[in-house]
Amino acid sequence: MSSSYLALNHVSARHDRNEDPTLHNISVDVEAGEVIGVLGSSGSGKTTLLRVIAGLHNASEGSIILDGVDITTTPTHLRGVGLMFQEHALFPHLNVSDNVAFGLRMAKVPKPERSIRVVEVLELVGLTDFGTRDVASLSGGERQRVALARTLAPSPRLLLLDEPMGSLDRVLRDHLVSELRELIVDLGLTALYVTHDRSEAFALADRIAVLDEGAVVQFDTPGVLDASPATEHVSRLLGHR
Amino acid sequence: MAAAPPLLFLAVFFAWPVVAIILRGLRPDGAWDLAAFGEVVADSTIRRVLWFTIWESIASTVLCLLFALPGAALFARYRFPGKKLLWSALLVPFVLPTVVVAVSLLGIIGSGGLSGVNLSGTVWAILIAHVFFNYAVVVRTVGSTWSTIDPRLEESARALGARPWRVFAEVTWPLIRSSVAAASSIVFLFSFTSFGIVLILGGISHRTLEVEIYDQTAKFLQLDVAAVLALLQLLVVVIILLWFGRSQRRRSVLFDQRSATETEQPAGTPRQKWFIRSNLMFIALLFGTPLMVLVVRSFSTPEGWGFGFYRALTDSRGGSTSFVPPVDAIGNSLMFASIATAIALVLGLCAAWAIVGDGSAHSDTRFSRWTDTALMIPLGTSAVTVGFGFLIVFDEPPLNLRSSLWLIPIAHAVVALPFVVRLLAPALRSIDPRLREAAATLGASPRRVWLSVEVPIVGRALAAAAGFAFAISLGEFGATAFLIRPDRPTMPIAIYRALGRPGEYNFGQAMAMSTILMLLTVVVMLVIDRFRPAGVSEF
Repeated sequence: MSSSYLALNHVSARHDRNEDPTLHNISVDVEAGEVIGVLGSSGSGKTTLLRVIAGLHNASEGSIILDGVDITTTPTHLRGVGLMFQEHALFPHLNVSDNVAFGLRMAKVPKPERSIRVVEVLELVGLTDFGTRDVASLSGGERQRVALARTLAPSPRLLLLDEPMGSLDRVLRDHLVSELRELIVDLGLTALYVTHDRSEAFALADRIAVLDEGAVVQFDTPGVLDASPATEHVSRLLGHR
Repeated sequence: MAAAPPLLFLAVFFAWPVVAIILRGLRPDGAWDLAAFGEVVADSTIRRVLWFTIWESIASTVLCLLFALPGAALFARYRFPGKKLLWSALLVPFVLPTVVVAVSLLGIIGSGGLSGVNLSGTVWAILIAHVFFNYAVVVRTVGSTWSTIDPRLEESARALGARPWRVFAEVTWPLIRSSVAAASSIVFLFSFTSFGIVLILGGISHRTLEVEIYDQTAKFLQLDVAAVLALLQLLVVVIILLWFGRSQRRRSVLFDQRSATETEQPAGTPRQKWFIRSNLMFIALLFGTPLMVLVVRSFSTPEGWGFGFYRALTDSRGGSTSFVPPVDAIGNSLMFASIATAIALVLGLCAAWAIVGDGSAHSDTRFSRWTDTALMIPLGTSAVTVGFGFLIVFDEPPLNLRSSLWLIPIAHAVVALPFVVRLLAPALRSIDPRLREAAATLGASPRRVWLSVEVPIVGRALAAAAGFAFAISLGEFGATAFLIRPDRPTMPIAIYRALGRPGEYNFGQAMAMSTILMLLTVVVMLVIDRFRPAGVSEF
């Protein structure tokens, strides 16, 4: 247990935004390089869980350990986690390159290195030559890739993805999910991927945590989950009737 | 040709006086002659006035931003009890008559005021008053833009390693910058053209161009000097408006707007709670204290608590035949305001129709845009310019209205018209042409369409516009000061006169009259708020 890369120990979160439910006593251990799917219906607390890990929402109890360091009270900007939102949240006043370079600038990476890294990351997500484009001119899929590039550029210690495919259509999604999985594995990143979509979670995750009303009801590999769902709710969420 | 009446009105009652001022300033003896202009500008007293006007406006703007930007953040980002009510209530100080605000502040920071510190006659009194008036301009303009910014942009920046002040500098600021520029230019213009405040609170040593124009006209009868000063003032106003227009085009960033209810959150951390509380306390201190002190002191006579000051308003003491009991001013004000409102509404409706057209795409012509701009110009120019312009144009043939009572409501209508158009045009524009078509296919005759679609939608905006025009006319002081006949004072004029007479009873009367005027304005604003069309609040 102490060897895990990311550990949530009995984390709870109090009611804050009215629409978010409370998190109850969540304990999860994630190994380095693992891709974890966080599966739950809307209102199950999965977004709050990501926000707590990112430091955008305070945990009322429990602790969060990342790579051996307790980060429970560390401010967001010092946590070094990459967070990608469903609606991508690209900075509208910056072009593609400047969006991608943002995290590098905050980390005071010198300009020549920064430019090299931006080109590198844009190439990684398949957007070579998009650097000078205005973000408003991008398609949904392109925006998604820019958001990913921006998150990857400063080499985060942990990748948090909040329904990153949420606003894309089905065909594009299936294609991107497998691409994303490859990318994460190639880069050796540890990632938490929040989704309400069973097939996305199964295609992407090494292990899946199922959330219901703010609590983890099952945390297993897709195979085990499929074979023996712990509760009625899990089996319904997986599409078994 | 709905544009014709308002344009004609503005041509006669705005453009002509302005042209007359220019001619008077640059062609004093019927021939172009810049000597007089140069002489006035070279005069050291005038230079001091000009310099003071400029730096006082800059200081007011900076001070206002300093206090109001946190207020904008408060309304944009946090949910707290009474938020909606406070948001509308903030409009009240903005439309309160300058004279009332000046008297209220005297009650606190004047001689014998509540605070024990006498700031009257200092620049601080002027600056405080300007923050009082313009706080809402900044909070509402910047706050409504700020509230549409997706908080996830700021959260993304944090996750990418930006510390709090960098999040503001790198993400929030670039997105609110153009609205801050818009608000700042309005605050600067209002401070630059501030008249009543400076006249009452500035004493003899602090005078703005506006006050100087008034003094040169009313005290020294130097109309040529006044014309040059008015010209100077117009020049600065035009430069500011041009700069503002350019900066808007250059700077604005389009972004996906969120609805404000999506972006607000209740205070979570103790720091956020402290932030909300300190902002609310500032608002209470800035607005609550002076207005409450005004009301309380208006009842506290030398003989104890009572209506003494109010009863004195009906007195025709003073002995001289020209003295009018102050209570008559209430009737005068209500009459002028009714006429001004009627004029502004009829012309404003014509203008709004001309600007919006029938809602089809090709109705957005160059002509309609031009009309739109032309109608906004009076917003930037000062009431004193309007009053002074009227004075030099309408006292001789072909249109001698000097002794006519009409000049006052007409001047008020010129001042109110841009506000009325700004309220009506968006309401008209918001009528989806498909609504009319839908009503028609449902069997409504054209008359029924008008009654069941247009009237209910525009009716609300019309009521709001009427309230605004009425409130503006009630409190108008700058133009009125030039045009008023001694026997027919308005309420602000009566208050100013009472302040000018020595003795506690006169100050008490000023406070009593100010209380009445404030209550009238508040009632009008409450009525407006009931009718305010949702989503279109540009003021």
